[in-house]
Amino acid sequence: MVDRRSKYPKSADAGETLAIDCGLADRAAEGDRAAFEEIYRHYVNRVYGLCLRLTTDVGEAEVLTQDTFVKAWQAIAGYAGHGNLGGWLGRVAVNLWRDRFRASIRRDKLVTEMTAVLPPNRDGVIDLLTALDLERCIARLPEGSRLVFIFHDVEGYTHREIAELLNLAVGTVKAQLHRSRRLLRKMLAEDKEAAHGA
Amino acid sequence: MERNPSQNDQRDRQLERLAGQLRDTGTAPDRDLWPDIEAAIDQAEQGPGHRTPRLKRGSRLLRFAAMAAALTLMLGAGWVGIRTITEDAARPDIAGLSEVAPPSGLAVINQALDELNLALADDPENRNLSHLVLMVHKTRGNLMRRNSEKLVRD
Repeated sequence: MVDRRSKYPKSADAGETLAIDCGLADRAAEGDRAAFEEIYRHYVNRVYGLCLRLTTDVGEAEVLTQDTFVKAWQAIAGYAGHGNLGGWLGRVAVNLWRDRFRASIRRDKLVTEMTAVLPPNRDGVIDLLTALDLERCIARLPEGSRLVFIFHDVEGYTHREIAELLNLAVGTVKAQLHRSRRLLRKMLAEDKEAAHGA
Repeated sequence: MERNPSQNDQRDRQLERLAGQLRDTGTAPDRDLWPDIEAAIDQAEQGPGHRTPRLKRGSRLLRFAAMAAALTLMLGAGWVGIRTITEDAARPDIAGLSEVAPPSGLAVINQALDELNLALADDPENRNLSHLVLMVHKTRGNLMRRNSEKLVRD
């Protein structure tokens, strides 16, 4: 029977969260399924959000999320408290995504779309934005820009890590990141204008 | 017209702040995935004795056999899916068709995926294989969703 009282208090700071992460991970590594379910309940939104951003498909995101937690259960002994458990789970998800979709990640597409003509830069004010506005706009980005933005700005990967992950030059990653931010600023400004006009 | 760099830097910082919020809050899935995860863990923990042997790496003939098996599975599952979706409502007498793809079908699909992934590891540039993997993943997702919906209905 799962103890429904969450080990993660809402006011937990980073140190406290890390301690809880380590405690639950240790118990899960010893085969405690309830501890692992607690980890799942706490981090599923983060993992699913990442999977949905990467795949842009609800069904594929569900499968990738499921496989991430199954893999995490098998590999939780290797977590060893290095950083936030959510970040570790994110890495597990990204590795599975890379292995599964590597052949469909068209390097030529990631690079050639860089040469597409950019719309005029009409940056508007993007204050009063919500994360939900940004989520919608990320989904509309071209694949290369979307992946680089997700890995760098959302997940905190370095340029070099992204370059290795996507088999791109570091310079290309930086250019894609610049392009993605520019496109996002434009989309967000247009959405805001449309909302005001409605 | 380009805005000055400091304005863009400021907006980039706003984007980064919002992106960080996205990471921390995430997105809730439409359904609870835990039962499927627990079932998959149980299945994995049954051990290799409960699984059919893996194909030997490098066996081109067997790789193509795996592709053919996966294709057959996909077409079968897709046909059942289409029949179930389009005819269930009109013909309650065949509503049980969805049971043609029982939970054990998921294990078969998982096995096919394992073999395809092994084949893909040997031949990563093979577009046909990668396309098959994607299609089998979609079929697997659809099957899982159908099973869940059926559980809810029942």
